[in-house]
Amino acid sequence: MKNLPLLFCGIFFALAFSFTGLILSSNIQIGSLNQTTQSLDENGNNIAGETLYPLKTAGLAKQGKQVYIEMGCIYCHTQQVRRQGFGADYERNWGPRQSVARDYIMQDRVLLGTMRRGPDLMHVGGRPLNADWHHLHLYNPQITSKGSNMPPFAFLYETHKIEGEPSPDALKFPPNSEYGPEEGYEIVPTRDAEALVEYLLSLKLDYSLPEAQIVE
Amino acid sequence: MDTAPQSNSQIANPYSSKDAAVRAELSEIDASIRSSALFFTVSAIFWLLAGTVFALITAYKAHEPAFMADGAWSTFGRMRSAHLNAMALGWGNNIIFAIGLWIMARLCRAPIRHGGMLTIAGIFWNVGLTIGIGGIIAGDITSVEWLEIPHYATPLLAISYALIGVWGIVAFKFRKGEHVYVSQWYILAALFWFPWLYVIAQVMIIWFPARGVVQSVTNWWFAHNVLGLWLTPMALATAYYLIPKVLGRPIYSYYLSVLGFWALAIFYNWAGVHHLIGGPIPVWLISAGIVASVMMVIPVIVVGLNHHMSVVGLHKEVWRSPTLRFTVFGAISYTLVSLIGSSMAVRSVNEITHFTDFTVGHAHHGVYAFFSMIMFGGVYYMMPRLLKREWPSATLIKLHFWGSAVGISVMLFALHVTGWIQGLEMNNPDISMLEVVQNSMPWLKARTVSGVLLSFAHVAFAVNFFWMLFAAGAVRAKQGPTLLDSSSKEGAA
Amino acid sequence: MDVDSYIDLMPIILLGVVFFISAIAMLYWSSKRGQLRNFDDQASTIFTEEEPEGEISDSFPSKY
Repeated sequence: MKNLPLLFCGIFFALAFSFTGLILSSNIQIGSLNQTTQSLDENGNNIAGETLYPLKTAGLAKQGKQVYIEMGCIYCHTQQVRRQGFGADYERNWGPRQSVARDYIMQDRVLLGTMRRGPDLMHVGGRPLNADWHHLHLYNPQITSKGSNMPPFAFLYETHKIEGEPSPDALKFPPNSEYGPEEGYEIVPTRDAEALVEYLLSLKLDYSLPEAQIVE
Repeated sequence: MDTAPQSNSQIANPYSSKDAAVRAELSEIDASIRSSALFFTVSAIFWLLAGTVFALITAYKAHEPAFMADGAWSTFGRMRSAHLNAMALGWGNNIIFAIGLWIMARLCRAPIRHGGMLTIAGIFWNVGLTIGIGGIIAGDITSVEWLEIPHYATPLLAISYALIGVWGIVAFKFRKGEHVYVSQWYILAALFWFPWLYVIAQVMIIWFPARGVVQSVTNWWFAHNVLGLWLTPMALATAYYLIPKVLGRPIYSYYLSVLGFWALAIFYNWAGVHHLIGGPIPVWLISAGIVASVMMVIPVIVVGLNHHMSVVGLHKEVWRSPTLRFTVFGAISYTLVSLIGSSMAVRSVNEITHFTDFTVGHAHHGVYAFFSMIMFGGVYYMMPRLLKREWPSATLIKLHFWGSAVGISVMLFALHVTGWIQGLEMNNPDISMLEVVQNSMPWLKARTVSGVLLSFAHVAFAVNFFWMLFAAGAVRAKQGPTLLDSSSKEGAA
Repeated sequence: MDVDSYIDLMPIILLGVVFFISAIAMLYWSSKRGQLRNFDDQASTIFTEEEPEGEISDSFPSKY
């Protein structure tokens, strides 16, 4: 095999085959998925008047997703729940059901992730953690999760001198916390931090899809 | 002996000719690519050092999260991505452009035409990469694995790559003589595959995002193929050239090498989907990925056997050659890393290793212990022939070898063990996530130590390299066109 | 996996068949053209007069 065109044909076909098989065919299969209601009527159509899922991330949460991307959260946190019986995603309460292809169709950038140095975040908004907790955790993970190796994102927060009324947005440190501000100062989230927390709270897998029902 | 130069194309077998002009051909080829190969090697070494610094910061932050945590620019995700891109596209691609094209030119027996264009394309490549990695650190990171470089830098990278790739293919087109060697296949194929992968991934993920998880499929088709269809063929091409060349003995079986090539070409590019096992994509896609990953055992065994049989009986010679010490280390790692990789694609194993440091260890096994070690070997072989000088210090070469070999072994051991433990613990819901993290700490610290060893190795390499490049007065020029006149053979013991 | 999704996959299955046939055709053509003859000779094309077969061409530098 010394012939360039022949060699080239083989080289071309080898990759063309996987490109067609993996990329184009999954594009055909997944690219045609649409939003749907939680269950379908007997003809397999959406039920009129019900909300279509998955919802689209919008507003502040959408800006928060950009912060999530810029901070590289994906390198330690996944956004995918594996099926019950494959890993312990379900038992760890990372989601009430497995995530499926349709869950991601409204996302401009899909952040599945491949590394879990920390918990999965597909359903973090559905867990009993409020915005105050998230702010403290982002400001310094040691406050809420002693021993975590998550980096602190204190640079997303500002320290102000309290003038007059304290800000309602100020971080609510536990009493005598070694990470709290000095007397007379308060720590408030920047817009980026607000957006990021809004995004995290918006991550919920609390709806069913025809192909993936939440089973209680 | 007729000294009149004659057209090379008239000679049936130029490499056995007694004609002095033909004999000097190799030197002429080396000269035609010298400036661009030097440029690429120097760039590669700078990126290697930069990537090492990013790596150390990342490794240290993994167990000391408060370290360098005052600014967004140095947060874990950005440092990690800067490391990956500096190593893959900075060190990896530059060294491929240097060694891959040099081997291509030598095997094509024709000088590279207009080598200056290669250097210009190389400058653009490195400028694009600097902008890209600067962009990552500044916060324009895309958070798409292996494609973190922001959109404003990628067109420059694509264009400069295209020029370089075309030069390689043109060199093949204008080759002299009938014969083609297996290394040329690998290089030719990789030069063609890489831009295809890169452009498709850019278009379908960044420019015109495909719907939902099609992006993820494309992402891992690309990212795994950067290893499989770019770094791997280039390293194998180098190994296929260096092992028989240094030992002076043809490869054990040429048939096997051909079989290995086509098996790799057919199976490897389907394998990437195994990064999404258990993920939200159609099951048949994942099954295809698993089957292909397991089928990779064929080319791996074939290549491993071929390399092993080529070396058998000459182990002393391997040890006495700096080039082969590195190259054979890399070739052995190829067999190991690929077999581990194939088994990681099996669902029951993947259930444990997926989402853990096992994968991180595996990636370093492939890119460092296999690819980089072979490329180090390539540099040790190429430089004396380009510069017609000896390496100034044998001690530094040994330091480099032992630092790299011990460093990477420690790292692989630590990451594979901790990854496996993490996986088992994560699959046990009674163990909290915080405990899983805590239990990995000692191993992550061991990883940092291994990083320090690797850094020493890289500094030794860089010092030796620049010492040789600038000669520093102490290094005498070698006689003859290359090192290899029998009269100038020395230092075998 | 239900039948519907296999029908979705018809294009790729057909393509697989086409690729397979063309691979066989290419192999046949190349053997006809003698591309597969004298295979092992190609293994020695890396050696030259300057760096001939049978000679070790790399060793540690003598100094230091």
